[in-house]
Amino acid sequence: MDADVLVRDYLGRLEAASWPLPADRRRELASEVSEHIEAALSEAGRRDEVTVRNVLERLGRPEEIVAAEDGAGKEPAAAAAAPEQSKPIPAASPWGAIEIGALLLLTVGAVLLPVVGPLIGLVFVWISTQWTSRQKAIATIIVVALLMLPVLLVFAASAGTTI
Amino acid sequence: MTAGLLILIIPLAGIVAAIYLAIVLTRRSRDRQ
Repeated sequence: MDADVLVRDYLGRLEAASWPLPADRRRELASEVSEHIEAALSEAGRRDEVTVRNVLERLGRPEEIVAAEDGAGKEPAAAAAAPEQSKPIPAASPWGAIEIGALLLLTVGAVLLPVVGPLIGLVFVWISTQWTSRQKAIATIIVVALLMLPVLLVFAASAGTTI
Repeated sequence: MTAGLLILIIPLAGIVAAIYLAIVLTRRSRDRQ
């Protein structure tokens, strides 16, 4: 996945999670975190997917940053400024809106919107940062392989009738 | 017959993938606790 997409997704989740904060503090927080990500990436000297994932993982989940900001009045960007020293707080749950949306599209979406629903679900899966590229690839292969099965069956049936 | 299989298999593709992804996330959240 493109590194910029990962960063955009992370900042989007931060924005979504920061709704309890005042509007000016939300903007400030987004800008601080964004600046920190850019600084960490330029320090790393690379912008590949693994580097971006490591930087974002060190930052912790957006919900945790907002919780720290909202609860203790702690400056999350101050902790973010030294990612090597800061350890992310263990997250309670990896389930976010994107993950739930992806699974709903793959299940309920597959019934309501055959073929299109699961394909949109796969887009959500690839947007999410909660699954590794390998897990995303496995899910994609499962969907594509099982969707190809009916096509093969139709071919087999039509071949059978023409012989 | 073929139509019945199609109706069954098309939703199944997404459901199988969703079960796999849900297991991955559930395991991870359990590990973190």
